[in-house]
Amino acid sequence: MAVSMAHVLTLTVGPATFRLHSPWREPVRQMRALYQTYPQPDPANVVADLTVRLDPATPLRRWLRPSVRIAGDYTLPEAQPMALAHGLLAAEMGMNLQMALGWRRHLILHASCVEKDGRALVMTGESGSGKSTLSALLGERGWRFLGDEFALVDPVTGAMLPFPRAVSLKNSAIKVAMDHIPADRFGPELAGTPKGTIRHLIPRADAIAAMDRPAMPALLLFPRYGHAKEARPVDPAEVFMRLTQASTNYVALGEAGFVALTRFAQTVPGVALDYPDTQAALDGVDELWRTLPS
Amino acid sequence: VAANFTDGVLPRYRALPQDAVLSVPLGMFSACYLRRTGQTHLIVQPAPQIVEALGAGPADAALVIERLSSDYDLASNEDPAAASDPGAALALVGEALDELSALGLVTRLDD
Repeated sequence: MAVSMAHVLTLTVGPATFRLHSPWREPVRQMRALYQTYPQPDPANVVADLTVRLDPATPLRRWLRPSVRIAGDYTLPEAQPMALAHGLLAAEMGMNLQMALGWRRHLILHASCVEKDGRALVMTGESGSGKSTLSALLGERGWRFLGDEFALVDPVTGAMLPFPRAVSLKNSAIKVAMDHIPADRFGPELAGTPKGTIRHLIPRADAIAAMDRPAMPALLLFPRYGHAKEARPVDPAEVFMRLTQASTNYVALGEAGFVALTRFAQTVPGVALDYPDTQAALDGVDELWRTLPS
Repeated sequence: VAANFTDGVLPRYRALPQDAVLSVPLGMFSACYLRRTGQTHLIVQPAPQIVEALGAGPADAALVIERLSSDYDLASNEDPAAASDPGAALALVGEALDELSALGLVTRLDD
């Protein structure tokens, strides 16, 4: 009988099943707890799509001042070792990395996504644009949360597929979310990470239960935090160009990616939304959604 | 390109085979996917119209202008001078053909 030294968790989010390996117990225990409302199939009975490994930075470091390095099917040279106390963050970043580089079944946009009335709102932008916080808050206000980090476009149908991972809230966004959402939906606070303080938010149970239900995209927003409120249309060519840059696998998908993204740019109106504060952004989304042609 | 005009000999170009490139109109632009290289290009008016005009067969800039003139107004979209000045129109289309050839979206025919 083989004896495994690793702690293993198999986890399904939307269309992807991840296998997380770690030589330490704690990151796997934290992930199991954070994702307790998600399907966690028995590792013996499932073939995972993507593998995430948390490796000791050196073998000795497993025991002395433990530090973890993210690995898996794909690795990035700049993936830095992190303190074991941030093992949960390392696991989350590892899932992002494997998804961004290894997933081929859908076009991946670096974007958040929510759904209402059967139609999807996609929000893309740089880190700090507020797309993640907005998707989390909309998910508490009558929208279905589909994802805060990656929006998946089905290359055949053009529909958005849910990938409702835990929302990674950073710094001031943590308080904004905690003002609106019950405390038992949050993971542990991770202070002093390379991105500042991070706290994960688990989506509502109904969003997780519906994570196999796609929705056709109806509006693309480019939110931008810290400016006077203004909404301007973004023309299809600019939508296309900006989304090629916001996609992690556009080039890898080849012709299928081109077909999916040109169809998106032709059929989904784009709007740049500047906003001074969260309430203005939520109001702006409501106004745009109300005036959308049906 | 300029040297060719003064010589009075214009380079000729032909379109790619129909299945070599996917083109999708996006407003004033066209997104083009080259199957051979997997590259995507975004080209702006009048380049998409010039590529389309080559669909009727190989042509130099003068013949492309002749084909375009029936249903496309070069001057209104690009360069007002091109309307009244045939030399300016020739230079504009000649440059566009040269750039399209550099991108691999049309083929320059050797003399």
